[in-house]
Amino acid sequence: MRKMLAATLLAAVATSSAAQEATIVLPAGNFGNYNPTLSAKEAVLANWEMAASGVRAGEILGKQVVTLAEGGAGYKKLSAQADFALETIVARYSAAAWLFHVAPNATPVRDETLVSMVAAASGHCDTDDCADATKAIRDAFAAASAELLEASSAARAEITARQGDVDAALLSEQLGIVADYLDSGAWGQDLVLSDFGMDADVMANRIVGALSLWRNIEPYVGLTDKEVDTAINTASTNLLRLLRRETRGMERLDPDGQVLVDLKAAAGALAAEYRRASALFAS
Amino acid sequence: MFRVLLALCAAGTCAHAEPIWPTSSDGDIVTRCLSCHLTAPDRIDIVGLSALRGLPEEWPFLFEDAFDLDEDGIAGQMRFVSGSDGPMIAIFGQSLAAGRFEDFASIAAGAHGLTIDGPDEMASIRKAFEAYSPDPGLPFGSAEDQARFEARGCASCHVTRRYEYNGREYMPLSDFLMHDLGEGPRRTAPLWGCADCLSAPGHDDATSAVR
Repeated sequence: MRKMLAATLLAAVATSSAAQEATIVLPAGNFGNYNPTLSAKEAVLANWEMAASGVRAGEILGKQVVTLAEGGAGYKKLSAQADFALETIVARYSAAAWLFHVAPNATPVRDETLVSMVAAASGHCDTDDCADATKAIRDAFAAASAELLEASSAARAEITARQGDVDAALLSEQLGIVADYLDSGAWGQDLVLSDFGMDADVMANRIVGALSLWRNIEPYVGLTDKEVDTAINTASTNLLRLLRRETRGMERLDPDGQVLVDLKAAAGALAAEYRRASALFAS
Repeated sequence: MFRVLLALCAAGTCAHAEPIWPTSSDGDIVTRCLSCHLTAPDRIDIVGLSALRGLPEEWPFLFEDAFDLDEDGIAGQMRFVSGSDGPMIAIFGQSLAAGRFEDFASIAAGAHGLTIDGPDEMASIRKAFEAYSPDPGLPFGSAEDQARFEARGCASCHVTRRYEYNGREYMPLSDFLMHDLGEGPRRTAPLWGCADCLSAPGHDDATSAVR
């Protein structure tokens, strides 16, 4: 009885899902032996992937704003969508800052493009005719989307370029890249959105974007040297605590202030630990 | 069995707690899978498998706060898993993880001691599961219901954002991120097929269990 019922159901499935069949694209893979655990190489590339996909997410959101504007949406709705998109675009683009710092072929979004986008999203229109404000949002997000697309593609090319590298070399390189970025202080420079009170957001996202590698790479460092693993976790916790405590709600970063001094010290301490980790995998 | 069901529930949402007949240990692989997952003649216990295909790729990026920078007490992280062309963001599974239905089915089959024999069998499983997976409607009956859900803080992870796919609107009520509520990281379960969940007591702070 059970077999008959199952056979009937399967026949129904064959019929009901005929339309779906054409859209099913089977991925490659060994279906009986899937292991979700990242290899060392995948763990490194996941960091690049997160940066590239984050920038791509920004491009998608930007395009949605453009589509809305071109579709004749009212200004209030458009402005709300622009605000929503802006938050993720700035966060994810900032989180990928380490990548643009180390990859000479990855073209970053131009400062003026970012500023125009934020300015347009920050605009107001309380009159009946919001054509100019709508056009400003549309044009600014269109320009940003185009540059984010280019940046995302360039970031992805960096992933492709590393596909042939061996695991240890990639681990060493990636840990060294993040160490250099943290040590450079670049995360606290060129804050072009200061006038919009976004210094803390940009800086925090730049730092945590660089730290994101740790979640994937830690198992490999931990298995190799537990002491280095613990030291990185301690230094990371210290930097994150400072970041939350000192920058939350801060609109403009004082380039000569104590906050930046403290953050640089904490970032430098973490960079030193990442360098030790990098050396573990250097040939 | 219950643990496996729980894990699968995180891919969609379990429509029922128990299958409608005992597990079949014979028949082909699709029959064996369905014998456990069918909870009614026309539905399985996982909601929204087809709709999940339309989940926007930017979705997890909208909500991630990996280090709780906003200090709302809730950190949520994307999890990357192995993929055929490189690492990919996982959206299936509660603590188990997979980025694609096929990979998750492979994990589930392994947990049952089953073997999926090649792409044709996998395609059959996917077709069957998508055909029988209930298509979720929008979960809230009224704006007030949604407001109450949001006011309780549930929407911090069970986000109330919508997306469109194939001309329909969906609200999965999940950020698809991993959160650690005290029992190790778990992916936010989509509640889009679970009307009872919307007014159920929330997570216990200490144990993450739904009371």
